Amino acid sequence: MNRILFSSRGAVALLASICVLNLSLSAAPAKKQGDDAASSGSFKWENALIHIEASSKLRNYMQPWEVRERWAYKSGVVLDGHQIITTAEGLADVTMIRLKKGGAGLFSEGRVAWIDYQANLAILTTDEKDFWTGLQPAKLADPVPTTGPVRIMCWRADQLENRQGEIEQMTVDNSMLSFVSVPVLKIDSTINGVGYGEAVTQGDKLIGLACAQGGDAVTAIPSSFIESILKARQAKTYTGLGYFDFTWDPAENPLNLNYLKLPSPARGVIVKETGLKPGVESPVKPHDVILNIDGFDIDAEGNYRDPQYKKLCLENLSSRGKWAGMDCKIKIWRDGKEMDVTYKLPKAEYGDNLVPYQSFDQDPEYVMTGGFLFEPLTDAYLRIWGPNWRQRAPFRLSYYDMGKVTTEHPQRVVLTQVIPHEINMGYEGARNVVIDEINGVKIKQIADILPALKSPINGFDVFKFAPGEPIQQVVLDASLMDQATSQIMASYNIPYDHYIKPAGILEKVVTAPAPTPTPTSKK
Amino acid sequence: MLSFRCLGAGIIGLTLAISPLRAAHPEAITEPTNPSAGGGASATPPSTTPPAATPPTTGGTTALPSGLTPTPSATTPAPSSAHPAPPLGTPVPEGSDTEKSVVQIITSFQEPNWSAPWMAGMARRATGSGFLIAGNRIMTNAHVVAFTKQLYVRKYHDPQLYVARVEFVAHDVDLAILRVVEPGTDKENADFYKGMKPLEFGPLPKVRSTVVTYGFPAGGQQISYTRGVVSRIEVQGYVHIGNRAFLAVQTDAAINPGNSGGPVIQDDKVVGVAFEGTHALENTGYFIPTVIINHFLADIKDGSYHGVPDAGLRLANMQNSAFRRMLKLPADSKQGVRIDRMLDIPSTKAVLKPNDVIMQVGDYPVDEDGTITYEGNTVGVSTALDLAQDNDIIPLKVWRDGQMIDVSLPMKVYRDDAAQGNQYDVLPPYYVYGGLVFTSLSLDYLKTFGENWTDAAGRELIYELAYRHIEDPDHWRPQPVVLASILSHSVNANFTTRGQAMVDKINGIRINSLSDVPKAFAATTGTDAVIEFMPDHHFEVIRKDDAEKATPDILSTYHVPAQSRL
Repeated sequence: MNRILFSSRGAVALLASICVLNLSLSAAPAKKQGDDAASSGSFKWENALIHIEASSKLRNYMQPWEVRERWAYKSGVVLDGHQIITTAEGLADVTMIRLKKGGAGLFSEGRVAWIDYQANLAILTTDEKDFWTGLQPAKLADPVPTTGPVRIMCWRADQLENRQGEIEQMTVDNSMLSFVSVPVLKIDSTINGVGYGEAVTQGDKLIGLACAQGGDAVTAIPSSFIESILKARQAKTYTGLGYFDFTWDPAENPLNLNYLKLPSPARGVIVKETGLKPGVESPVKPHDVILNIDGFDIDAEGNYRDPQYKKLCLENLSSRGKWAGMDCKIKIWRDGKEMDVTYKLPKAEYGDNLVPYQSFDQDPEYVMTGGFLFEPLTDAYLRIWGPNWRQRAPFRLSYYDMGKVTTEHPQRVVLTQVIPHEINMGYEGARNVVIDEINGVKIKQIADILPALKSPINGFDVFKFAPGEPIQQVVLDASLMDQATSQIMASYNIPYDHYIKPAGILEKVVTAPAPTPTPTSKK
Repeated sequence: MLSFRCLGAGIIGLTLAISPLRAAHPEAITEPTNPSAGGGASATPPSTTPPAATPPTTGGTTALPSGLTPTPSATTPAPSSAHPAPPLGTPVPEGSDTEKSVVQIITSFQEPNWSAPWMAGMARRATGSGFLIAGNRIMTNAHVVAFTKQLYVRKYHDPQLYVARVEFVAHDVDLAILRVVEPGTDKENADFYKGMKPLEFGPLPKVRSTVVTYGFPAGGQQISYTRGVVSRIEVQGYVHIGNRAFLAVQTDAAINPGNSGGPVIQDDKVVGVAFEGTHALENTGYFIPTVIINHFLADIKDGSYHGVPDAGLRLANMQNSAFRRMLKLPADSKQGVRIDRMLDIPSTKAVLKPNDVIMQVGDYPVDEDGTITYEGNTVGVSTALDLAQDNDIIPLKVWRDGQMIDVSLPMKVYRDDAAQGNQYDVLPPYYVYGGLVFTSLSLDYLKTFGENWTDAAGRELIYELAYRHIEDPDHWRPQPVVLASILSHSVNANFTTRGQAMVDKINGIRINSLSDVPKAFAATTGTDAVIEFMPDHHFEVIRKDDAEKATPDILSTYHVPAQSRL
């Protein structure tokens, strides 16, 4: 128990502090959060850490109509305004959130107040007023220290785990749930099993939320980054993370700069590919040299001198107080001369990639017709092959991950499997092949399939696959499709034959009653 | 050619999952400790060495994605007459003519180094088996003698080593013919053949009939025999070349490293040449049947080997009734296999079209699952096509546009995909400029990244080799070029790229083959040469004068004998 300093409020303050500290043992009268801690000057991390349990839908991309449940166990930190800050990981498709404070007592029901998957941040809250009693909001450090010891804390099995760490550096890396580059804090610590929103603290300040761990290396989202987003959100100016939709090379070969007629000293980075954001023309071109972004000179390794954090990668400038849709002033070298361009930060969205990086808060799209199961090609589907899917998944599918969204191919749709039925006899071995056309209609996205099936060719549904696939063409009897689909659904326990957004509801298209499955006839 | 062609259909993962076929590869010999050898000690001290030659382990790791629609194989019908097996206790008579005609082959070989192409690999030794055939020739597997530098043959109960030379080699069907010669000459060594009788070839054995393998497998020095039955006869991938498939016979007779090239005997006749094994299945070995052997022997009659021709056909079964009706096939017919796709072979494209249904090949009606009945066995239709020699014409009955037509299909040897398979008896091409080592993209180059080359080589290289020509023929290059590595020197020290990079252009000139590289560098105007890489506009610049001055020094430092081998 902390010492309570007597003041003019004397015994009243003493009684109030006792109530706060004995929260779990008595039904103390509700108090406004933070009053007593602020007045007492005693902040305890135990009063700011929250244990979170989140139940969410577990998708099965092999049988996309299936939903199971999974649980995530996380940590969060109380902030002002009845908010709990945590990482977004594990909160996608959430069905229930439970919160526990103080490592003891009952759970309270929580909800997501705000979530940003690209930034890997979420705000939780609860409508249970009693929950906030005795809790103390943490303060976010800004700037964040880049050296020195830290403590990493969380509730684990209702015990407070509190382990030392040492800050290695502030750097820039991909956000955990995104392709966007964000600042991260690298910490060396012997604590195990973190990466789910645990508090990284120094004194009474929150300096980050742990978001990943590899051995003794813990990665945390720095509080300066969190604070900038929360402030912008409060000011209603936060539009989501933007990014630089070009790739670049460091200018390590001075002859490369010489070729581009950039006089020494060596500086800047050389643009390689541009236009990664579909539908947006980039003001930056291949072989431009990026010299300066928003007043920060870029060196030949691709770093700039950050006033708070020394040397950081230029990618950080896409989120250093800037958000999607805001302008960056970029000084470039092109065709032998320097020029300024205004670069509007494109919004980071998963659909920017031909094979979307994530598919959150939505049921998997699919169409099952005549036993042919079609799904959009997504990283979520490829992850069926495990964390090493880039090596384990069928090569041609994983190679699409390197492709760009185009008007011709905004999406690739895959025949993932053939569910056997007489109608598709002979095609059982076809799987993981990309569909190109159905009945002469180009399939650019999954939503094109059902309309294409409305126009069979001379009574046949003709499916053509992408060049390079092991099978180029298969044909089904269009007049038998609906009946076969019904029978397959009945036989294989498939509740719905398709899900296409944005309808948002599962539909059963086949209206014919599902007859009893026909016995397989002999050849 | 059919289902097992490497048409780049992107199923590396699936291919690797298929049971690996490990060639019954030559095994390193154990040098005998022989105090009575007299004279100098043997060059290599006695030791037990592991199998020296790394076998072409899996159909997946040596072959590019083989892009199959697996053709369901029909149940093998019961043979019309079972071949009775002798009682298990009956021993093979010792000293029989058969075993006297079986030889051990000892090879010293040296494989090239595809990532440092001017270098050769370590010289290694290995053994295999072979047997005498008519004309005083030894038959064995191509993989036994690939890259050989020195060949010896040892025969039954004879301590002498006899010098041999390769006369013909067929890497596609994994067969080779040797001649035994007098040392230091090209003259036949008549003494060698004394007491030996050439083995004769028999027909395709029946499933469930008994066969005996003869050879010199691991585990001992003397001739060894194993007995088993013929389990299955099917078309399957030949691991040695990697991107071809032919008829093969599966047996449960043990076929182990060292057995390669040995005869498989039934009724005192050779019914096959042992060549592959697998650890993934128990009691499973494979031998090359006589239909393939006879094709090889007929091919070499004119003094050179041409190869098994390939029509470039990708076929799909016609078991689905809707497709059959759409193509207006007769309702009562269960025949025909559909052309799903074709390689760009003009002689084939002149007479066949996609969605043609091949109803008969020569004398062989084709069933709707893509099989024919060949000598009582249900096998893939490619067996019938593989009977053709180079420039033969095969008569086909084809269903097209609702009617049957006769088509004469010219069969030609196809080698445009050589780089997608394992290459032998060729040296890797290269060009060195300012320490930059350029070579052509090939499966052999990709395999230098190790057993997990499909992971390590990078998806861009694999796509270029296996898929570009199918999916993006307008941008395909006949011989894609890779900056394989950089021999460090101050002239290239600042390069960000250190190798494993596909070359797009040099000095703005598109690089379609390795021979374009020196021409493109020679076309440098100004002081600098610019090399652009795929796929993302990365480029590097090298100073022309510095590079050309440095090249001889670099070649000397790294012992590169010549600037190029194109």
